[in-house]
Amino acid sequence: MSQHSKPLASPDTAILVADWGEDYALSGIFGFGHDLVPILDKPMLQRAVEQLVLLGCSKIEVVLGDYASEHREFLGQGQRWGVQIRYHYRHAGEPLSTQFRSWIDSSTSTLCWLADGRCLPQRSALQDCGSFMVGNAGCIVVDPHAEEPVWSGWGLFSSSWLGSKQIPATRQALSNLLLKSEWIEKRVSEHLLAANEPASFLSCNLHILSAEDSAGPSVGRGCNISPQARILPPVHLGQHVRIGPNTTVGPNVVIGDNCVIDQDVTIESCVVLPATYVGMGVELKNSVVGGNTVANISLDTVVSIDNKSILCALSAKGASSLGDRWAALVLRLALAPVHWAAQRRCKSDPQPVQHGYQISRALGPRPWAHHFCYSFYPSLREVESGRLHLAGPIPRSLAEQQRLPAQWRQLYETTDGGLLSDALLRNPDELGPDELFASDAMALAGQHQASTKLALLLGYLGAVLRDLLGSGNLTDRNTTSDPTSKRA
Amino acid sequence: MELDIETAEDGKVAIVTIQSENLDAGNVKKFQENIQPAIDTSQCVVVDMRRLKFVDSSGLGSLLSTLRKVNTKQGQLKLFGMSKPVQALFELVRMHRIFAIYESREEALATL
Repeated sequence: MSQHSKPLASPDTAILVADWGEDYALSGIFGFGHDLVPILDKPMLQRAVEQLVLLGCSKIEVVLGDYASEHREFLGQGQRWGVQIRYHYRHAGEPLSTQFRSWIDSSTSTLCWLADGRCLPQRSALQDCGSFMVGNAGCIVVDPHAEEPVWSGWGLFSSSWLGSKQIPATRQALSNLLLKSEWIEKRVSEHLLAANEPASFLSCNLHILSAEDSAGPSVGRGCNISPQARILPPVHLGQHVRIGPNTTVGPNVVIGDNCVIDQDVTIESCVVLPATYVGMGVELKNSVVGGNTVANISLDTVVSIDNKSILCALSAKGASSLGDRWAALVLRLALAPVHWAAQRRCKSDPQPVQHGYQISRALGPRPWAHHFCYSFYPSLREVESGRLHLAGPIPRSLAEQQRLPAQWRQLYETTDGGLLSDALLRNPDELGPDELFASDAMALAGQHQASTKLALLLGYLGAVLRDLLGSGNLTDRNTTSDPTSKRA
Repeated sequence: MELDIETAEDGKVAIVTIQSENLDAGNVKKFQENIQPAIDTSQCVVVDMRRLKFVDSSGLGSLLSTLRKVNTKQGQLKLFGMSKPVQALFELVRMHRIFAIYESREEALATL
């Protein structure tokens, strides 16, 4: 362990752990596919980067977590903040110090920030850290509200200490190590912003709202507020928010971009997440609202509302693009003769059992024609109505999704599936769980790519036509109505 | 699918270099056959993916099944040298959380 008895060079490098692999509860409750939910107007990760920039960092090593592609896309190379950002993966079970050594200058005279992308201490507490480095290997900021000291995820360390072999891979283990170490100084932040679950998310938003020194409400671009509506500050309205007549918003309300608040609504001490519709006459207090879900903080309960006239998401999860919907309509009209022909060819064969949009059990000599007739063609209506994508992971019921392993289940956080997938074109009975998982993951990645959809569609229709014309020597796929059955 | 297999650390580590530019339905069976000896003989399998430009769902599935086999033996599978398209794909489908991915061979070997 290194100790320092003389002042060290001010730090210009930071290691920002985007997330420590801990669950982001808001994602599970409100169905986000990432943790970049804005707090007032920007996500916590952006606030963390800005904090580091204000602390004088010019190089930020971002340790990617669960939402790597989203974080990388959001932060870019750091030009927005005039800093250099590099990305690294965090490998579970591997001591962080092993990785740190290859990124940072481990000489004893340099300092390095370690920061948590989901938490933000007060800047003054962080600035204090520099003064307490003399004689210590590091200085950390601890949570002021916890009964026992809890590490905030932020601290200033000597690079040589960070590169030592003692840095464990999990936040909990590292926290224990830091709190016990006599060479680590502890500073308390007056407040600490963390927004991993509804209660802290609400308090975080309201804290930042109250800290903004503004006499009136903050109103985003393109808002449409009825002259009969009452806005009681402090209130933050995002961009393109619509507020109906006789509606009261505030005090202490944050409304995200593209929300529609109907007439006669009362909202107080709430956060309404972006793209949410709040229906006529609804009263909301001390809650976080998003999509069709209300997390009531006073009652410590989460409720989902099925009635879309009360509450709903304006861009629903799994909704297919307008292009998909039009394509489905055109396909349904264009393929009507093929459907008619397929029905005639298949009418003497046993009828397959229908399982929603699932790959139906194909019986007899014409499995593709059967699938087209009884599964694909009828399900085009589901794509038209926006419930399914044209291409995507195999649609599965909620019960089936819950039986999947965690990584696989997470694919369905942002989609309800698609009609066409790679697995459909191959024989699912020959695919093991790894191949089925890979196919679903790839289908999710390609569900917005026109070329992928076109290739799948052409491959599928080619197989159906060969089956109908009797020229293809297709193997009896015996596709299963329960694609999860092989997973055991 | 041609694989170059060399060993390091007294045979404990097998460094497998994928010579093909694609890992897809056309060559996954060969890949699995060829990588099997490395899994059988070494505790740690390090895969050099520098030449790989394209991976499809079959390729991804074969890498997952390789990982499963290595994990069953309490071993380690490390990937390095991913091209940008392959890396983007791995991130998009969240495979970076499942595999240990490194930028270079040195970085991968340094973590043994």
